[in-house]
Amino acid sequence: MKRSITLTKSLLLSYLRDPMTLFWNLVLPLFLLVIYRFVFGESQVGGVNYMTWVVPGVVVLNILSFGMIGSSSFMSHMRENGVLRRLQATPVPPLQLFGAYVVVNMIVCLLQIAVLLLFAVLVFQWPVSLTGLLLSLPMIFIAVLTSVALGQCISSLSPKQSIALAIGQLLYFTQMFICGLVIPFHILPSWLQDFAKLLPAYAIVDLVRAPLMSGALSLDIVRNLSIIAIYTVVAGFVATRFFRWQSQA
Amino acid sequence: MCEYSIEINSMSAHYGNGGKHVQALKDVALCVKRGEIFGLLGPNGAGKTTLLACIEGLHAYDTGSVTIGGVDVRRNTVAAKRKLGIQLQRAALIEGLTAVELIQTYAALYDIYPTRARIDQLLKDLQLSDQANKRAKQMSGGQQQRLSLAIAVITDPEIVLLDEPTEALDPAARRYVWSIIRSLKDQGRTVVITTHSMDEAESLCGRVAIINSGQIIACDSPQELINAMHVNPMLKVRVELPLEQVQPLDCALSARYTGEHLEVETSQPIVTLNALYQLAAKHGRVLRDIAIRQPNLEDVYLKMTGNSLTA
Repeated sequence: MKRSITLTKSLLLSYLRDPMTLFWNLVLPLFLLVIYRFVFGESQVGGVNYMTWVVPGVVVLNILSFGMIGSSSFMSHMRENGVLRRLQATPVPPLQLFGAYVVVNMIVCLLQIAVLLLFAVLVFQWPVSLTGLLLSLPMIFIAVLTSVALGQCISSLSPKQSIALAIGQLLYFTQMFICGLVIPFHILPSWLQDFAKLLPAYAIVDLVRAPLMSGALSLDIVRNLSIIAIYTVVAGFVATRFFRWQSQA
Repeated sequence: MCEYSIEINSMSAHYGNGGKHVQALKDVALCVKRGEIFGLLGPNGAGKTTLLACIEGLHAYDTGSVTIGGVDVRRNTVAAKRKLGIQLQRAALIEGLTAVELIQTYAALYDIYPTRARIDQLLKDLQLSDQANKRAKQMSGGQQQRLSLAIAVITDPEIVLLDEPTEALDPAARRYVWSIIRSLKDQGRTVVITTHSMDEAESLCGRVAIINSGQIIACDSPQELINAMHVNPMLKVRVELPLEQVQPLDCALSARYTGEHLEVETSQPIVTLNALYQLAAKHGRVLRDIAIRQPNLEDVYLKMTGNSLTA
């Protein structure tokens, strides 16, 4: 147990001391919220103020960027600079190592979401209920797991960190625009809506937005939880199956 | 207690698959005695690092066996890893952590929790006291190497495996690392180093194994290897002469150029030198920087393989 705690603490410190992590995970989301406020602040989405609607979308955006870009790139970087190989040389069981890594990912991601929501409440008077927060928490928790699994899948399949980063960004931006995170879903053509409904971000944003906005669980909870469960299991399997301790020579 | 720290029997290993399949090690047999400094000597790509990786449990070997202090690496990888202190070729330290945090982290992975006093003493021994709270990224290459040595020994391992521990270090830093390696032996540890530097192997190692193309072609003390190969003294001269005319000179056994210097292996240096004078005069050349040096491991390697270690 003490070993797990030390390992988790060290990985967490390493994460938090990386200026890129701080920028992408803490500064950028707040900056995005400010931009959205100035550009779309007065508009409405389905009868709701845009800012009220977009805050959960930015939360999901963060979860996606954290898993598919941050977590994936961090793992690829550790592989590329030999840290994974060095850890492999120690007696620590791989499962304990990855457990610590997932816990660190979870802590950092939840921390950034807390900062984001606090900022939205304090600066934009974003309306939130305690029930909504409590109901969204398990959804956010599951969403982070899915996103980290997808990120690790990308990392395991990419020969280099730069490729992992490119794939992560491609998937992130595509889902950002077509899954109803920051752009209203109903304005998309129906064929694109049909396609987007199969993507993890669509399911995640529905699961997270419903409790945060209305204080109740999504009506499509079974369908959307099933979709992200499939993504998590498949991505987790691929990530494990193709995991490498070191870069290919 | 068994006499050997490391025993390797008929071990073969490869890397890559299909068209990229490379036979990295072939039928390797090796015993490293308890408490000795053992060198794996060979040029880049000879298989030294793969051999070390097989011992460290980082690379799966195809056939044969590897035991560390009596523990079979394949059957009980975790127990085997606990006996080892490891420094890989690249320092590969977790970024963002300070020297003290790194030592604490890696020690914890072995379920060892050293006191701050013990860490401070280790850093002092490695001349890293002023780096204690600095992050690895802010350290020079030599300091990172020493820090990874600190990480390798904080767990008090029986056996320390160092992969090219002095690569890319300046001469002073190199000699300092040598003194640390000797102190590890004085503490009763077994040390295995890989190197392609013959002077490092000669001055540090009690015994060396020479690896070429994945095979161990010789294993003994440096002096025994030199004696056994009957390598003669080398006459070293700076002059430009056709090799085919140098080789038949009196008592000359072989000749080669290393940079600007002509090196002639000879049974009678003075006789060969005299003949060389005459040959140079015939070509209107002058002999400069004349030296006679005793044979070394490089000569042994050259004689065995026909290739230079540093090539």
